[in-house]
Amino acid sequence: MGWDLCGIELKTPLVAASGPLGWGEEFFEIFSTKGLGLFIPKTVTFNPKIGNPPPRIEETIGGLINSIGLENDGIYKWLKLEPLYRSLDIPVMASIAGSTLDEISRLGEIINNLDYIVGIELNLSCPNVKGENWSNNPNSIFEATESLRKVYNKLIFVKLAPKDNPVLYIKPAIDGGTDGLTLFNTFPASRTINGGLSGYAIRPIYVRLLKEIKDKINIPIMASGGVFSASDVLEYLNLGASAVQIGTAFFKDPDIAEKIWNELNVFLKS
Amino acid sequence: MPKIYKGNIIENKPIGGLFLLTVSIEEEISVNPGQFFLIRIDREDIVLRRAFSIFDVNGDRLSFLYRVVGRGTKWLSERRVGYTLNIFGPLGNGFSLCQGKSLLVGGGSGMAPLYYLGKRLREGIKFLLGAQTKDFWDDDLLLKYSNVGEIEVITEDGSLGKKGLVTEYIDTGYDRIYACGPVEMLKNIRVDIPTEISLETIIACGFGACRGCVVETKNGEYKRVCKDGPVFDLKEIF
Repeated sequence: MGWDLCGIELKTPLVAASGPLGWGEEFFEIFSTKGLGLFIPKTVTFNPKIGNPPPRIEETIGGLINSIGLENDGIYKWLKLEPLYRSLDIPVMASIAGSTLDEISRLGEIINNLDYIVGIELNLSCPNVKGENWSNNPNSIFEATESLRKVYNKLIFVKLAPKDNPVLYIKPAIDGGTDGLTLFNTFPASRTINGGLSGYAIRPIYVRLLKEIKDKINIPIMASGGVFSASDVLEYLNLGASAVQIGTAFFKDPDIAEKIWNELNVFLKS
Repeated sequence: MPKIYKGNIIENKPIGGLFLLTVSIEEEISVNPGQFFLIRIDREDIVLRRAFSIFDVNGDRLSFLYRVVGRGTKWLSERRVGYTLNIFGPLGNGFSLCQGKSLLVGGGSGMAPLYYLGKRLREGIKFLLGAQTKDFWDDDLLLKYSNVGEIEVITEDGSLGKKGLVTEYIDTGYDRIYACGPVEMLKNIRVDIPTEISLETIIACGFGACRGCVVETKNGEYKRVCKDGPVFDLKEIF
């Protein structure tokens, strides 16, 4: 049985969220794609970014705060990952972020030529980079999405921040021409470091936000936030998600996708 | 290549101020001294595994010497013989095994990776171990180390061995120094001998992907403790 994500057929509804597994080089050297339907590598920006100074991670009760700061080698080095992405037996969606509309368009133009990339997740919501959090402003969300839509012909998913009144921020992404939404990025939090909170702790908040939009929005959604088990996946699927992203749970079990997929099959068959 | 193993607990007991954990993974694997394993904490309120450098390897048995510092290690210390731990590794680079005379400097629980290193170096080694007070060790633990090489202990309160900090007792008659311990200790190694240090930090993925565990090098680069380390050249970091 295949899973449809805006016309892309996925083997499973489980998606490796952008971030925890980096760009995949190290992970796929050790583990296979078993259980995964889609891989989204860590966000790439136009120019290289050194990222934030350490410490970058801190554990909380049931959660994890991270502040990596979009460390990456820039789009030109990212293009060298082509052999890896071609070798995977699952589709790969790029994750991009830009500090200006121009950067977003330039990234979109480059990736538009890559037949091995099925779509772009536009990360408008990294909580750890100063001045680039487009997600706080509906008009910025519209402009950023529209800039990418103008140059990019394939699938676009806009990844938004978790916020009160989510429809206010979702609407401009739809108006800007996105095909789907990734809901949501990590939750801004602080303990001794400021960063984005992920893990079990955030799931009830994200479930609540999805319930709020369920009858108001009709667009494919990749749900994200605190997914550690098949029942977590079902909870999001039942709220209308087309696919479900797994992130922090890879730290607890690097083979979590395979585990959840096996568990999920039992549920789905019964 | 690292793998996820089922680690059946053979022993998990206090030894001085530390705990000694031995698991059987029912497979003989090759581990470099200084490499580490990530042990899953089977509690929903703890999302990260805990990183432990290898203390000893015997056939299909892996041993870890650890200190209880928080919720994760407390949970681990309460697991009984027969419990099956989920263990991922070996990870990281490990120490290089060089010929010649070596001084193995361990501060507190930083002594853990030096035991297997000593066993693998075999000859010309001396352990210089430091702790706040003599209660940190027990006789069995010190005996283990002295069976592998010459041993000198230093305590901050002078309750065993010489009084002070290990860094005050590092002399120069060695070809290489291997050190593990608190950052303050590592920073204060000021001899002109090639020195390898093992760094400790919170680890998320463990295989170099997530960029969560980076350390800043002296020239301002960020290196991943889990993949580029945990063993670094002292001069690269401090």
